[in-house]
Amino acid sequence: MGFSRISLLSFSTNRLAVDPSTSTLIWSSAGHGKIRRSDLEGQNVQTISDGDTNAWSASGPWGLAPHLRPGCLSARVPSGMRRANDLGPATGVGRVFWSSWGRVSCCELSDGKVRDVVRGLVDPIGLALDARNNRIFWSDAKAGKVQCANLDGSRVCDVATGLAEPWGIALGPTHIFWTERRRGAIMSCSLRTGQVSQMPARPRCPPPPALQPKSLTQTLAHTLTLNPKATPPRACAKPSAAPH
Amino acid sequence: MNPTVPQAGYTVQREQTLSLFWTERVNDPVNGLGGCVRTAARHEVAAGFQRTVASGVDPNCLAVDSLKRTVYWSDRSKGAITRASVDDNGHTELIAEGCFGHRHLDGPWGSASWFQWRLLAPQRQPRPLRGLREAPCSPPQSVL
Repeated sequence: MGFSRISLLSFSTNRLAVDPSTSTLIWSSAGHGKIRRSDLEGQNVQTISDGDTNAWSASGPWGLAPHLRPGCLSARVPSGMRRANDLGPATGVGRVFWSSWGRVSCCELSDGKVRDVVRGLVDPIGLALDARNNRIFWSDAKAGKVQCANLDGSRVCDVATGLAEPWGIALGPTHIFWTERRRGAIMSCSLRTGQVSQMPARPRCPPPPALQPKSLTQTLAHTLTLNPKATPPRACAKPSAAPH
Repeated sequence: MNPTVPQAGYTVQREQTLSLFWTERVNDPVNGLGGCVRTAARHEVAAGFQRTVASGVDPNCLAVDSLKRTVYWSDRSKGAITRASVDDNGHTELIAEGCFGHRHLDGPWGSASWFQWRLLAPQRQPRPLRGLREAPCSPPQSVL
């Protein structure tokens, strides 16, 4: 696997995710569906999924949400293994979800099989995983929606509609957060009541002069994540079955 | 934040406050395109307070390691992954470079298809830079 060190060309959109419990850094590249991982120091770069090579898009996978098995030793890809097929079918290292053109896809890392979880979407961008409740949230920029579904793709429902280009998305214990790139705003929705509210984006303290925006509309808060409550890694008894 | 007893080799820290991290891009006509990574606690966001984790960067995507209190982002212009400690203001560390491909050269179409595209479309040659001597001669316009 050669990694081209291209610095003079413009790099396209790429996604990034961190799984603290397995000390894994996962990213996707533009132009193909390859998903790679490394440790948190950027070492031991490996390809964990080839993605869906039939669904190539110039912008690559957008959202990226790992669903690894925390606390399970097999969640760490051994240093000598380069591809997901080397891991064997019974190790149960977890799954990786990503959003692409009109769909949310998933790769079971144990066997490398890729399948579509949700189809028929317009332009899903951000992706957030609720592993506790087996749900996945995404933002659809062109449709102006934030939607969710079960991890098996069932029960697709709207969380919020009529939004101005929702982009980055993050899940908290009680709220789902997203950014509206066109308005430069951070929005939230209560998972209990469904109430959508906007968080004030204009800072009370002025930003540094180098970053002083001319107006609020020129400040694009286009990616959002947050630190969830850290939970101790749980022992992994056995890998659960892949959703269907 | 109260650090708890490490379990199974992991240093577990329980967050008392929920923090939001986001990136901003500012299209400044004078200084060009700049960006920063900001953070604020949940209640601070509602109050309008925020803190800059890193500035002068070109972040594209963001990820947070809540256990080590480190924020990672992909730098669009460098094609690199950079990180910074949430508690260490302004210090950034580049941990991986050249890991994001270009849409023409690092896809399943590959470079062969890129050259094939060039062969199939030979008429689409890049325009020469326009200099003073190479300025096209436009027909003189009649002045009424």
